Parts: sequence; C-alpha cells; structure tokens
Amino acid sequence: MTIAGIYRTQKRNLKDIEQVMENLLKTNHTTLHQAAVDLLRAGGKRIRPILVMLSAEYGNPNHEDVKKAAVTLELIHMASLVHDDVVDNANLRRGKKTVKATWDNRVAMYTGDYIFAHSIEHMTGVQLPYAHQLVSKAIRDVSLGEIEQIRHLYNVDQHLRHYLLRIKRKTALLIALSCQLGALTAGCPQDIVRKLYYFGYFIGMSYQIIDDILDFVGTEKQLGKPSGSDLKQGNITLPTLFALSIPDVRQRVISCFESNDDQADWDGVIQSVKQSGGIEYAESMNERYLDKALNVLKSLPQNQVTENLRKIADYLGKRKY
Amino acid sequence: MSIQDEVVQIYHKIQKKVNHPYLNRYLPKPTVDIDKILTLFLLFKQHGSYKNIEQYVMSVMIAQMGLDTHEKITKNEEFKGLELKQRQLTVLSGDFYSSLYYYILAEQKDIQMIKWISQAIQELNMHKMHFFYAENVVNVDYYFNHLRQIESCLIIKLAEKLDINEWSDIIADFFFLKRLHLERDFLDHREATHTSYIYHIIKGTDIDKQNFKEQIEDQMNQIRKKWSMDILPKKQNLSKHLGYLIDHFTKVSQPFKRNTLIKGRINYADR
Repeated sequence: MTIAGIYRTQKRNLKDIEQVMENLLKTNHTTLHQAAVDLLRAGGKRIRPILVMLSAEYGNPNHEDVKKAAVTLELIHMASLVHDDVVDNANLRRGKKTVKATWDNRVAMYTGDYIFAHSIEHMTGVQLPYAHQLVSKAIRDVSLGEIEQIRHLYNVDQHLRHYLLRIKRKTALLIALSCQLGALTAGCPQDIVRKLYYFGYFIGMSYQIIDDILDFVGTEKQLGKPSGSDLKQGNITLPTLFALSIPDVRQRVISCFESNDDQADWDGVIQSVKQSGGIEYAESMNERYLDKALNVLKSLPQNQVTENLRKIADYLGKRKY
Repeated sequence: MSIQDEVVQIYHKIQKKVNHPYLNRYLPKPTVDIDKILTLFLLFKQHGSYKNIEQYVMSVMIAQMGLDTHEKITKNEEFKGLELKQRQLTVLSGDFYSSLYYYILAEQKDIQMIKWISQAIQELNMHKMHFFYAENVVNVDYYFNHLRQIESCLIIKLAEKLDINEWSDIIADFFFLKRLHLERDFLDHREATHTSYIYHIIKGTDIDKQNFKEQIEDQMNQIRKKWSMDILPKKQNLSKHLGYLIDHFTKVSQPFKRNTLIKGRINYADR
C-alpha cells in the first residue's frame, strides 16, 4: 500500500478527528474562535493522529479512547506551534500568516493556552491514570526542551548530544507518545506498547533531522518560510553542527552571529554549510535512526499494520518537504 | 502545624517545583500569591476528603502562575539581544508551568481534578479575550465584570466543583478588591503601561483618568460596604475555615496591605 493508500484507509478516522477538534474549539468569542480554527484549517500532515490510529491497530482501534488520544496530541502540537511563533517572531507558517501576525502576540498566547487546556480536558475522557502520566511527562519534557533550545542558541561550542537531546524533547517525544498512546488506548500488551514507543522515538528523531536538512535545501515555497531560517535565528542544527568542525566555516558562522543582521552574509554562510558535507552527515544520521525504527518493526507481528508503519517511516524519513 | 505554617510550606514547595537555574538567570522570580495559596488550602480543608492538599494547592497555583506569566507577553514589539531572550523565555516558562500543573495532578491520578482545572483555564482565557478584545461597544462595568472573573476564576470554579459555592462571592470580592487597589496604585503613582488592566480600560472607553479613578474608588467602597453590612455580621454562622479566611481577608484589605514573606513567615506589612 502507498502512503496515499494508508491515508485513504484512515480518511474516515482523520475526518472524525478533524470534526472533533473543530467542535471542541468553538467559542462565543469571534477572534478566539477564528484564531483557533484558522490554525486547524491550515492543515498539516496530521502525523500524530495517523500514528495513534495505525499503532492502535495492534489492538482494538475502535476503542473510544484511541481517537481521544489522537485529538489530544494534535491539539497539544497545535497549541505549541502558536506559542512557538511568538518565540520565533514568525509571521508565516505553512505559507500562511501566523496567529501572532494576523492578530498579535497576546491573542497568540491566549489561543495557545486555550487550545492546550482543551486538549487536556479532552484527554480526561481517557480514564487511564498511566496515560495521563505519560502525556503530562512528555509535555513537561517538551517545554524543557524548548527552553534548552533557547539556551543553546548561537552556542557554537555545543556537543552533538545537546542537539540530539534537544530534538528528542522538541519533536521525537510527542511522536513516540503518539505510537505509545495509540497502542495503550487500544489495549495492546505492554510489550507492543513499549516497542511502538521506541519506533515512534526513532522516526521522531529522523523526522526532525529531515526538517533540519530541509531548512537548508528546501525552497521558500516548499517550506512556507525563508530557507536557512534556523541558522539565522541562531539555532544550530545538525548540518551546521557538522560544518562548525571546519575552521573556515566556523569562522564565517561566528562572524554572522556577531554582526548586525543587515551586514551578515547569510546566503554565503548557508551555502558554505551546504558545501561542508553537513547535509550528507545529517542524512547518514537520519538513515541510522530510520534503520533503528525499521529494526523495531521487525520485532512486531509481520502483518499489514507493520507494513503500513514501515511505509510511514520511509515516507517521513525520505520526504522532500 | 498552624495554617500559616502550612501555607508558608506550600509557598516554598511551589518555589522549589518551578525552580529552573537557566530561567532564574534571565527572568525575575515568578510571583506566588500567598492569599491564593491560603484560599485554596482552606477550600480543600473545608471539603475534607482530599489527602494530599499540598499537591492540589500547588497544581492550581502553578497553573495560575503559567497564565500570569503569559500575561507579560503583549504587543508585537521587535526585541533584540537580552530582551529578546527574556521574552522567549517568558513564553516558554509559562508553558513549563502549565505542563507542571497537569504533571502534578497526573501523579495524584486525579483525572476529575485535571478536567476541572483545564475547564477553568479555558474559562479564564475567555474572560481575558472578552476583556482585551471586546466585540461590542462596552463600558467600564463590562471591564470590571471580566476583571473580577479574571482575578479569581480558577479558585471560584474549583469552589463550585467542590460544592462550596457559598465561598465564591467572598473570594471573588477579595481578589477583585486586591486588583483594584493595585490598578489604582498605577493611577496614583505610575503611568499606566500596556501590561496594566487599567490601560486597556482607559483605551477602550476613552474615560477621563480622574473620573476613572473615582469609579475604581466607588467599586472598592461598594465591596467594603457589602462586607461590613452583609458578610461580617454573619461570620459567626459560617464554617471555621471560611471564618478564618474572612478574618484574613479583612486584616489585609482594611486598609489594603500587601503580603510579603519574611523569614519564612507571612508578614502583612504595610505597602
């Protein structure tokens, strides 16, 4: 089955999830409603709900808790995006104006808090204390990861492990949690739940590494934001981390960080990172995480569900935008 | 241990729970409202069936701190350097606190309480939206109404859920009075900034500053009058915990005094 085919099999579920999210975010305040719903309608790959639903197929995918978990995780993700745009002072996301750009920072803060509170309330429909412990711990770790990201901005002396811990918290944890919760709410055995967590963790790491590569090689149209944005904001991702080991490139990056924005030769620096072998290094790291994810799948029952997850892993790990 | 000692202990535990060395380096210590700790503590005491009251009080207080922290993010100003970093960390520290309230309650395995608090947070956000982004032509009373809700929404919703409704009006009055006092102080001694509520009321209504000050005084007097006429005379018929709370509220609000923590004790020092 192709990726499009997998999405087609989940079309009904995804439609239900969208509908629940839209209903949840209805309010009697026009601006708040518009801000939340605009974001919802801006779309996205809906990776988290898809992974919840697919993982649930190892157990009972029709259990009512499964979709509750899917809705919760997507709403948590959405809430974090609204606040991220304030942190990054971003005016565009997926090619569309952000909440903070359409209205202002205050609306973005309230909208994010509102969506987050809704997501937690929705999760309380799941009467499994352990599930709440998993979700709350992941959210706490994600927020700590975001703080760590700020801490390491412009830090050219950071180690690879800082980067890996950061992307684990920033991205991989919620993707791992999606697989884990999908299986847990579907009543899967503990062993399956645990393996799916690791599968999700490895593809989450791969997903963020690809994102970091695309930030250099993607076009503005594909990315929905200018390329090289991470580096310009001082965020040192894997390609740059590799490039910093080359003295000449390192010096150019430092010069750009230290200079006034208008005078910095960002295009030149981005080009030198691309030519440093950093992209290839990141790609090889991505392959390693993908392999680990695929190895986990080998230990799961060899059926259509596992085959679908293999396709998803392959699609996410090799996507071009 | 006395009520006061227990409240102080919770205060310190909250500080410890939200402690983050990197955030401490760039951001001021988050404000923890001791009056709110006391109110929550007594609400749970009154209810009587919660074992880990300390954890519950901490969770609600930290949720409140998350929302209060996000209040500091206002306009779309362009910042650079240290100011930019502080702004970014302010957003993220608020998110961190918001995650902690859920984490603490999840550890308590209290799904019902998680639901109540998250509902209350939604309602609080709605009041803030109505306050800052009014959709129709509004007057000062409209703003006062939402401000009253904003100040105590989490606690009031909790009181309702715990079925201790008779406390709601008293609690709402007190925290509204406290806010009005602070806002009046802005008018008296400082220029209203975009982070103060009065700035929005003045902006939203085109009200004259002196006239507005009189309206604030009027509101404060109405509350005080209500207390002296309706609340205090009936105090003896109320529960022990509510009586304690009313005594505390009375002590700190006539004249209004700010609570500060000195050497681990609550000291109701004059402002």
